[in-house]
Amino acid sequence: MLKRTNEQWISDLRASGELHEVAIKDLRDIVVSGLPAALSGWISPNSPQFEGLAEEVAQETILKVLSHLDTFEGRSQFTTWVYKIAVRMALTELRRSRWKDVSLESLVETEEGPASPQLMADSSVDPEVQTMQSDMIVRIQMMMKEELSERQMMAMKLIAIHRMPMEEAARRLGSERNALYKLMHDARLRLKHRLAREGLDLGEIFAVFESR
Amino acid sequence: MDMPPAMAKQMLNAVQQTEEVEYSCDDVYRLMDEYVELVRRGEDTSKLMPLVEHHLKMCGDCREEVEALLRMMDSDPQR
Ligand SMILES: [Zn+2]
Repeated sequence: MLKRTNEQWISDLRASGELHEVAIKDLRDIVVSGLPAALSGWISPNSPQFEGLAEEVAQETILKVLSHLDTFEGRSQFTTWVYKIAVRMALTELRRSRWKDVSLESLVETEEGPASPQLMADSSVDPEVQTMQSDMIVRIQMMMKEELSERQMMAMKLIAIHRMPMEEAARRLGSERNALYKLMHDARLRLKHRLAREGLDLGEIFAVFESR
Repeated sequence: MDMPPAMAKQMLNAVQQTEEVEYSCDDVYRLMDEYVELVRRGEDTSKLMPLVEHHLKMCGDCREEVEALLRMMDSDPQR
């Protein structure tokens, strides 16, 4: 394949006729040939779904590249920018299919009821330390309930407990990933400020959990 | 809503690392191509892009994308 500079990529993709066709074909090839490595640990290239996924990602990537050519600022290699677009497409698709059979209801239903603070306290430690630990948990739980919105609690639950990707959690909550990150950041900040107001030092809290 | 204790602990870890100003996923996405090239050149990204670096600690989605991107670049015979 012809090795192009950033400028050549842009001008070939903007050209018409054969230059354009060849550039599109090359673009498709580099995406398709890079995907097995990119998606290693996600999906095997031998899996029956792989080819379809690769083809779809390549198509979508090309469309996005062409429609966003103006936004490429040339601060990286053009192909790195293309890879970035392809990776986002591919992982979005894989996250969705990985979680497609999991309903929000099932996540909420399978949860054990109100967890007792004793569960978190380490039972192998001194009873007095155990009491300290469960008192601390109660205090933290109280703060979270007071500081965070239902939505923040829900998002946190999906992401922290169920290990749901942010993108997927956002989709389920009718939001989008960037907004959800901001919502979570706000939640973390609220708790940080609350802990500070209460004069609670995180180092001390962790020390309580680590003492024997 | 009930809150399992495991969440409280995990939350505290995240709270401990929380900064007043953080990049969002969109901010990081804009810089991600530049970021991975710095990583591959062995540059000190914690100095050059501290906010991106911090976001990657907090956000599993962006971290996964950076990892995939680095693998993709490593497999590129033209690099
Ligand atoms: Zn992110």
